[in-house]
Amino acid sequence: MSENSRRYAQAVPVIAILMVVIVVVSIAGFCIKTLMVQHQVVVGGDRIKRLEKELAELSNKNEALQTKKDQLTSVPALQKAVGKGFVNLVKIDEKCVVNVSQPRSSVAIAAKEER
Amino acid sequence: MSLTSRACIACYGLAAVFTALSARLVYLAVDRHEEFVIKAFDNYKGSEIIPARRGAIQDAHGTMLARNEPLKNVIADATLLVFDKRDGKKTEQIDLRPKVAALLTGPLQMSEADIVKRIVPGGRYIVLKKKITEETYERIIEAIEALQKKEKVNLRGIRFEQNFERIYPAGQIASHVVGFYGFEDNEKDRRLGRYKGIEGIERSMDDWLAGKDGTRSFVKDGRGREIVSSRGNERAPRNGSDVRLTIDLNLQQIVETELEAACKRLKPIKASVVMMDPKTGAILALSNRPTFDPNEPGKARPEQRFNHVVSGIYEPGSTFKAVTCAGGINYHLVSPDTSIFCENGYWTAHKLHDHHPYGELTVGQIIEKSSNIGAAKIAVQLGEERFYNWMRNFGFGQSTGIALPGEARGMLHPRHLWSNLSISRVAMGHEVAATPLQVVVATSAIANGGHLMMPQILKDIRDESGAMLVDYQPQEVRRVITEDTAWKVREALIRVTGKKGTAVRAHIPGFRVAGKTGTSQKIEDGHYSKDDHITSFVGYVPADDPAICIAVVFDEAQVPNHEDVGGMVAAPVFKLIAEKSLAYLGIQPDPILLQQEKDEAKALAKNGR
Repeated sequence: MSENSRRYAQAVPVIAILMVVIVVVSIAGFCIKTLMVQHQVVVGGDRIKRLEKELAELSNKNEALQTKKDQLTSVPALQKAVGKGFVNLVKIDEKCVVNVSQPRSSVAIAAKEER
Repeated sequence: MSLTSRACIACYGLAAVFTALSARLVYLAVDRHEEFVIKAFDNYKGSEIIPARRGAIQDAHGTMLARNEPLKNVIADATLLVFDKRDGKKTEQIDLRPKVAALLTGPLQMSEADIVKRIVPGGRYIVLKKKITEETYERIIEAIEALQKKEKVNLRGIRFEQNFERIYPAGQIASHVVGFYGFEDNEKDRRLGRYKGIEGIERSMDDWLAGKDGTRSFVKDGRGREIVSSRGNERAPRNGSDVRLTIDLNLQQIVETELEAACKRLKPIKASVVMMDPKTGAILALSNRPTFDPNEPGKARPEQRFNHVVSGIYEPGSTFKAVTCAGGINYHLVSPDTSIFCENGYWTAHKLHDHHPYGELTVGQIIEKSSNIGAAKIAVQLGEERFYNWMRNFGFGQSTGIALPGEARGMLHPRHLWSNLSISRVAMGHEVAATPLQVVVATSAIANGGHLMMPQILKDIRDESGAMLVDYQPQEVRRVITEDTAWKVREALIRVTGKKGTAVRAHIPGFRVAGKTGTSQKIEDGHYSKDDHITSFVGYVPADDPAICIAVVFDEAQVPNHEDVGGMVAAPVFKLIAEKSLAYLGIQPDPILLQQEKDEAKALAKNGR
């Protein structure tokens, strides 16, 4: 080795250390990123499951309400409600119905004739 | 022993140990490879069934006749409710059962002692209660959350499983059409919990309604929980399709109300009504008595579940004469004005009686007065072979092809089994059996100008998003009579509900009603009974442009014997049903006809005075 070379030789191998640091940081970064991604996947998965469960619950609730509505508005249920006076409907006598554009129904005529 | 020898022994020993270990390794890795692969697979892989939703049944306007109510089963895992808790060196037994029992006793309507008794320590799957409603489920969830907050306990040992129940909101209305869903009556299905449609549309359309369950495979973490991101193969469930019927719930309700009222009054052992649109063959209403509630099929006796309209056969009696006379007119053997001698009440050659001693009657009058001898003479003119083929053409002795299970074909003996008297008996609807459906289909063919329509109960099939999968269009089976014949027969049938006809009680003011009464004696111990009758009426209205064709059948109505005839028993029920149905359909009475009837009534009253 010449004298000049020895004069400029580094006491600390900066480049080598830097390379090692870069490699270590890269590996560590990769590992951390991998862990973060995995964590995100798990958290995302849990969220998907929670949302799936919520969706199922909501569609069940919707279906249950639809069923209840169908049951409450079914003919037997309405008949029962009318019978109990719950609906407060009063039957309109056929003779009171006047259809101005059409001839009167036979029921109405029969009712009128009965009178 | 020298050092070398001891070293050798140690080496041999070690070699033997390693050889044994290697052999074990080879045994486990090679010989039991499959077993351990499966075990490892089971440890981290799982699969589940995604149940398909059963489709709904709706009427023609989309009103629900059958749907699913989501319910839940309450499951207890005793290993999470009764367990040992280690705190350093101390072991404490935790028993959460009393708390769970106190919490569930109200919503589940079970005693606390019963709940504690059911949760046997060690049990991982204990069904506490099946099919609780969504409301009850919410109440339990709220109570669990409140308790967990208050007492810092974890009640993971209580979980819920999805279930459903088939609900029939209309109850008894159209129960014979809709049918019901449940277990087939055999041990295997009961054990496997295999549900399916048992009767009605639930049965015949089971493949469409049931859909197909989906499956999903997934990877589990160390705690056995699903890792959603590693979901494997997934086959989505194919939910059942919604089936829409041709039944109109409002017309069905009219039929049910009138039939119920008639049955209370007449007390028959059974009764049926079927209403059809003669132009399209669509069944608008169908009802039977006795009936049942599909929400509680277990409480119904078999006779209550029997659909007489489709599966029950009876001798149609005089309603059949319209078909017989149509044959004579169609083959130009007679015309409505052709006069036939009715033997003054008894035809010796065929040993046949009439109710009244008729002399000469026109073909129109034969239908109007319901003369047995007149109808028999027309059949004789047709000849056995032609008459037999004529009836087959009208669909007697064959199933109509309606999409309801258990359809009867009726009974029309092959010609070689006929006796000498058969032709005269079949002509008046004896020695032949038909379902009310076959009778209404045949009458509809006369009503619509000669087209035999296939009766349709299905309107369309849609998927869960409402997209149409199948659209059922009216289907003509064949043309059975010419249009000219149909109109000629119609005129005769209108006279039946006229002042001199047998069904004056079926007349509706302002409408021309075409129809035919029928009274047949029941067969008891191989003989025709004198007291027990099946009375019927089949007719259509308005006769000029028919909107509805209705068959009404009563079996053994409890009325005096002389009143137990179609014109007295079934015709008035037809009138009530038809009148209300026409009003519902917005078909108004003819004002000219109405005025004529009024004038006639006035004239009669004047003359009477």
